[in-house]
Amino acid sequence: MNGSESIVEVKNLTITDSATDRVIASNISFELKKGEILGFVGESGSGKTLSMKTVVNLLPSNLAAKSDKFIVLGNDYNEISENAKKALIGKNIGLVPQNTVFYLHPMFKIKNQIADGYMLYNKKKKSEGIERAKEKLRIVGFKDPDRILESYPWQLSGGMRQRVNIALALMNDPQIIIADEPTTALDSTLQAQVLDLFKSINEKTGVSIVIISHDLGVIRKYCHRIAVMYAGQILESAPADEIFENARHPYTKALIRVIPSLNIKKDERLMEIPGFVPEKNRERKECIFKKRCSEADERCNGDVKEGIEGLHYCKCSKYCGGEV
Amino acid sequence: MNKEDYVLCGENIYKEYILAKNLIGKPIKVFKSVKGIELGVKCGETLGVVGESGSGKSTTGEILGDLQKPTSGNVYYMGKNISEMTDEEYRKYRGDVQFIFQDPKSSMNPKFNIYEVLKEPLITLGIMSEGEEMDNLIKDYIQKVGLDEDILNKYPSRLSGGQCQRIAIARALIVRPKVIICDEPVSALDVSVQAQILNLLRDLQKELKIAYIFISHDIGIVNYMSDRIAVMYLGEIIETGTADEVFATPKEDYTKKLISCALI
Amino acid sequence: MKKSMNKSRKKWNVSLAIGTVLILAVVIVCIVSFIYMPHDPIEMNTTLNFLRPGANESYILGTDNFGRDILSRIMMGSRTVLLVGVVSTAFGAVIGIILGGFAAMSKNIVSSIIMRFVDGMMAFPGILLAMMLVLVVGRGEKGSIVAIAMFIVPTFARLVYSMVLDTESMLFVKAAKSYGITKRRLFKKHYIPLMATRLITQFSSSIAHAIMVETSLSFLGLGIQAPNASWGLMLNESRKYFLTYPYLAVAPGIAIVFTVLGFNLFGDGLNELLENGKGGKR
Repeated sequence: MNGSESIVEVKNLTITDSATDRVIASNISFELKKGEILGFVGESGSGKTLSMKTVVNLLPSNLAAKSDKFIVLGNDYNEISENAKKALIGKNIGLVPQNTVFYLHPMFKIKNQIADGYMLYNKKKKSEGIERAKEKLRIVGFKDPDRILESYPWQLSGGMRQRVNIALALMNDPQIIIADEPTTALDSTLQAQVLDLFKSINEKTGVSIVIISHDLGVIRKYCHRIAVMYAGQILESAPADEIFENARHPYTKALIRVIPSLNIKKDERLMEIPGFVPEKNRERKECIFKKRCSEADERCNGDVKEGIEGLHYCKCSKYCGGEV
Repeated sequence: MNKEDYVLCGENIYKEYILAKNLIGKPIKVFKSVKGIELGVKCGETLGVVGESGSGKSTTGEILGDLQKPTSGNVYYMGKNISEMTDEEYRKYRGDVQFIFQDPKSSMNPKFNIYEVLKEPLITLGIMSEGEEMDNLIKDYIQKVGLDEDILNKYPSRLSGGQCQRIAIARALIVRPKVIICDEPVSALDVSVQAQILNLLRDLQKELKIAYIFISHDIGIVNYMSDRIAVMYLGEIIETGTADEVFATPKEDYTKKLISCALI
Repeated sequence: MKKSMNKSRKKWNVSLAIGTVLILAVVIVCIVSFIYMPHDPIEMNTTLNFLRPGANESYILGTDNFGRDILSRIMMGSRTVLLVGVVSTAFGAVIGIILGGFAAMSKNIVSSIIMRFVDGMMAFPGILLAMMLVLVVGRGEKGSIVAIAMFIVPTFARLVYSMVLDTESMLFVKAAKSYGITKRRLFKKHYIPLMATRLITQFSSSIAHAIMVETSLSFLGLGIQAPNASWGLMLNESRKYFLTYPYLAVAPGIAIVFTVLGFNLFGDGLNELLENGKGGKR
């Protein structure tokens, strides 16, 4: 993907809770390139979902976002009006939520809600919308789209609903799809199926996809690049293989080790990361992971250093300092 | 199955939910959640129950802990049918079988502080009344699950999921149970905290000789935690055996599929 | 940025402020009435009847057809209004909470009977029900209290019933059952604290409702009996002279409106305050 055009570019995004002035995410910079699958990995409360919500302008009203640069598809979010943002997002960005149940209106048949966005943003008739919906439902693997269109959401299983959600996100031929924990609510046998679907859509249509997940193990096979977030900061980002083979940040290493797998021996203790995710002082300059880090030493005191080596970004004084 | 071998076991358990009735109150639509299960846990061992959502594994756990009544079938504690117990025996059973739930935060009343959360079971089970002895006991258990005493006057909404789950474990332990039914105890927690909780559960088992019924959809975690495993599918147990047996030589296709999915 | 934030945090709870002021005013008037009233509210003085407000310095709000001081009668009436309003609501609320709680927690034939009975009571137009009850219990202060309490019961019973059913499905109730909590303790320790905010709010609005019913009853001659003063009764008496002496109806009318408004606004404001407080705590 190197060298291709970047369609989302964010520099130093900071999200604060305006009621308490507490910083939730600080200095987040990332780039999404055309045709790329970018994975955001982090624990709950790491700010991964909120950072993505700023992209689709769905930040809860009590939070305020500030950034030095926020460019989505050539438009600067800090400049354009709310309505222009809405139109831009509606046409070009598809969202796949975590919760498969509440994203679809329970009282309407699928055919009565799936084409709404398409009709609104492209000024089309309903019949055209339905035709398109059928096509998209076929893409997500339904062999009988007519039956799906005639169903109510509750008549579908969790996996089917999630595929309908994906079809819904595809309706406007978006350039970006943001999937927020798309598989967390699904059974393990369905997770692979849904992620395979994302991969094949990406290969077929060249759409850029952002997958947000708490589980590094689940998404490693599907992402080109992975950004690891912790306590509102991006600690490391690199191509997926690089993250797994050559992780530098102690947090990333720990995350890889705690992936529950069948390989753990029963008499061994599980590798654990002691302590809890900090809630306060997320904007501080020193290393945010220091307190829980097993490898912290005197080099970690003072301001944290960042380093970039090729595509590998890392924020750790010990392992990547001094190469900026 | 021989009831005497198990601390807690269920025999031939069925659970049906009536979804719709006709005019004269006769059920016309019935959902069979659990279909004839036989399951037991021995003293001090961990029995893993694995299955997907809707397989009836949580319902089974709740029936064994008498939070739901089975449609038919019996639950035996120490060889005694719980529906035929005297009040005294039932109270003993109630205290000896405890639960840890999936979502620790909502398993505590938001209006209670942690001290009150831990105090409740001691009072309702009539183990002791308020006083210095109780304070000391609560402090002991807070330390046992790796937390500080100053957490006692905080409210659950102020704590992280991992901290809450530790409190939930302390609440289950404080009445000195013989069996703890863990219903997806780590699936709502962060990956980095899951390991903490699992290690804690294993350490406590070694120390206190408690039996666990460990219910989870994650076959990797179940394998790590359990001595024996029961695989559930659509309300039935399709495969049982020791953990090593089931994983090394799974017999059913479904079990094989579960294992292969976990190996991504 | 920061300024607007502080502003929004300190945003005045207008309903609560106005409600509190109005209720305080009524309560103060009521307290003062025990210490001092300009004239004896029952004493008749036919030579000084139909004095317009301001016509005589010692009768600020004027006098009625029997020459009784209207201000004193309003003050005396505030006692009745507060007494009947608060006491009957309290009775009604307690009975309603117990009935609703019992019905929600026992879930057998008794609970269906209770709830169907409550539904039946709700089907009556409120004032009709109160009138019927007054006829059964007897007129006067006690009669009104009992009648209005019965009128309040269904509201609370329904509220508690539905809230208990809501709370029942929560995980911590399951957890409490897993360590063998008794139903009574469950209700007392878990349900009541969780329902408290809603109940307090409902209590305040119910007082307003109760006052409305009380004044209506005395207006119809079923509540407080003459010569005792009640705002409804005063309205009724002024009815006959309404065209010639309209000011007679103004004072009790305003008193009723302000009191009812006060309790309603107080309830709304309280609701807002408590709900926001809950959200902010997270």
